[in-house]
Amino acid sequence: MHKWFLFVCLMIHPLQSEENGRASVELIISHTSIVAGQSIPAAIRMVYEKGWHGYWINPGESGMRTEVEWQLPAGWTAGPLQFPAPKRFVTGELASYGYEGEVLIPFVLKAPAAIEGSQAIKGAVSWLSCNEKSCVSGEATVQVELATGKAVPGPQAAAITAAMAKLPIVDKALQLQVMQAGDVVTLTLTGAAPLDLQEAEFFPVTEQALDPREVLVWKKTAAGYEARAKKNEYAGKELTQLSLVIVSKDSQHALLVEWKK
Amino acid sequence: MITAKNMFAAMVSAISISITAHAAEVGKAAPDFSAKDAKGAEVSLAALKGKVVVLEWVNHGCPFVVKHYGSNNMQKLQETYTGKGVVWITINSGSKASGSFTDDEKFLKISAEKGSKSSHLVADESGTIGKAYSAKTTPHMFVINKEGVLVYNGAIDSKKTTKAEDIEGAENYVAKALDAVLEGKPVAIPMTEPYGCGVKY
Repeated sequence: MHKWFLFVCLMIHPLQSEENGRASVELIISHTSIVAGQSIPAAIRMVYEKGWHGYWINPGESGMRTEVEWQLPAGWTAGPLQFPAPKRFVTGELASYGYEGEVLIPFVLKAPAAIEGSQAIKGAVSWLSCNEKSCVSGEATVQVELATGKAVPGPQAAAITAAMAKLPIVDKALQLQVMQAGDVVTLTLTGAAPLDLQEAEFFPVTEQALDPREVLVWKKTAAGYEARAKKNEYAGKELTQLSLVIVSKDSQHALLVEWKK
Repeated sequence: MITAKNMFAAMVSAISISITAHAAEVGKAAPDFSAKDAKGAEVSLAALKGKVVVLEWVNHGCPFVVKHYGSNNMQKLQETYTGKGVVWITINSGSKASGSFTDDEKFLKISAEKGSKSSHLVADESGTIGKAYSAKTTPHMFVINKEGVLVYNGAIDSKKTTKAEDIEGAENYVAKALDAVLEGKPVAIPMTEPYGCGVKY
């Protein structure tokens, strides 16, 4: 009886949600049925167990970003994972960037010009979860069957749209400039900022650029705002590019500013 | 009651890891340390002058360490280079409260199970050696030349993942540094950012 019960439980457990690595992972797609050539929003939904966190595109001093290896039907493409703004975690002496609780990492799926019948969208997700004391890796195969012939939005559409709307937006009105003198990097932001920069949080998208242990503090200047940072010890001679995500105090707005030498 | 023997034991444990204060900087003298290894033998960096030394930070509970031990990659490196006269010291830094602490007995047992070919295992409970080298992650690798100069500080290889299948296509910085040092040549890539789980001091 016991064995049968377990067997039945396994049978009815949905295939698209896998739990290991102190998180559950799921592939969600905005549509249940699509037409040839259609681009549709989708997302990897991670839910970390209480006390555990996973990682952003720039994981910081330790950890590893979440990745997907796609196994798509012929002609399909999946765009890059678009990581939402992270939180800062300090474990031991190391600073890292990531997420706790639930996070949706959106991307765009594109169907080929000609398709017929049900399509299996499948990928192998790998991630790392850490808490104060240890880290565990997770690996899971996620899969969703999509019908074809007509475009039918599904129950996940609203959640994915909301997640996409919260992604950092490239802000062309705000200019990031970088000046370097030895290990000191002076950042300036000029132009109209749609959020309070002095109350905002800053995260370097570019790896090995700024010292992750330092939190940027912005001063108001005549021209705009200025912050001093320490160059990352692995940055090499000088920075040649830097992208920053800026998150408003209420976490409702996230901007992306980019600088290239 | 404090017996003379107890007091002696307390003194020995207090001085069993001593260190000189220098930051670990590539191109400079590696911070000296002396410690008792898991078998009770004295390990002193100063006494190893004339030999190439590798320091490897380990925590067998970490998925990045599992990647390199589960695939036999670390053991093969240890075997290859200790076979060429390199002294390989595997260090576990971490307090008892951290969860990654391994006492000598456990350290010997797990290393034997993994088939470690390391020359010495050192349980650095106080984190003294780890902090002297600013060991950040497991793994985190250091190579010291015959003159006691630190010539490599960083990752084991170029692929920051937990997947064993990524080892083959990765550039192994430690093997390259050791090959160069053993031939008396400069190390082409002397510093990289280590990847792994944070060392839990």
